[in-house]
Amino acid sequence: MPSPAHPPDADLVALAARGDGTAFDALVRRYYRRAYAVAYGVLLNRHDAEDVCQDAFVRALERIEDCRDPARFGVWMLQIVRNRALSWRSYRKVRETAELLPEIAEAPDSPATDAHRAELGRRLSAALATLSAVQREVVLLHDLEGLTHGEIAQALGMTEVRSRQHLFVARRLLRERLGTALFREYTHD
Amino acid sequence: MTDDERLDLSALDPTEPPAEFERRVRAVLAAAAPALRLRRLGLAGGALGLVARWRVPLLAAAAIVILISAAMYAVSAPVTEELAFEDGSEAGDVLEALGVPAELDPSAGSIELVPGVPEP
Repeated sequence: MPSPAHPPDADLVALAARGDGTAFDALVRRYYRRAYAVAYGVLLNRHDAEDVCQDAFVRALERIEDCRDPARFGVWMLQIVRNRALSWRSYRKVRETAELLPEIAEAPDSPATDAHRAELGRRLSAALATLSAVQREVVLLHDLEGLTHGEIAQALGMTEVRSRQHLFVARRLLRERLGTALFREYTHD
Repeated sequence: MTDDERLDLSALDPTEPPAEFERRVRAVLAAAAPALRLRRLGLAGGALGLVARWRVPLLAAAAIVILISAAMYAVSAPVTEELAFEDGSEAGDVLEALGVPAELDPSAGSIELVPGVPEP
């Protein structure tokens, strides 16, 4: 049963539809990480993923009446994020003909960014870059956001079996790329 | 490989560090402020909101309609028929034979008024 501190999506969606900034703020905080996981999985660039997330949340608010099942706002939101990310990627391909994988070459976000965290992020990004977009989406949604295979299947429009297969392959490839010793550092034992 | 071997991807977590996450959330809220304002005013869900949401496609559709209308008007506009006689000679030939100056030939275009001469 939802607590007052964690109101159901349907309530937040209804309030946001009336312009309640607090409710919209709660939806953003609740779904930002999984939105980012999908956007990053498609784009493999931190700043582009942030831009797409921002754009997708605004788009979702503008079209919130189109969310036919507000209790499943998260699934609907991820579809918007995914579409926006794919459009962004197409636009980027046109704009930049010879693009480096930016996240690999990027400097940390700010001087305040922890150097060790930035280094981990850089290595992970390089390893993730060798996966397919859907493998990245699955592994990020599962291991970063903690979604179940059922939830991933709904969000990405695939079967649970397929989601498990993608996760299995993605983890195997990441282990190969990161090396066994380094991989241990990234896994919860 | 099983689910208990979950990767630690926290280095990519956009909600960390908290200050950065706050910056990201504030950026989203700032970008959404106009839409929230419209909704508070009750304009977003109604006809005005619909128009606002579809303004770009509507403008594009209007431009296409105007172009098509202009093209159709240009095609169907009445064309001045050339005066012709039974022997195949045109009005311009007859007038030329009569010594009428070319400037006064109505089939050649509009007749220019002589400056200073009042229009009849």
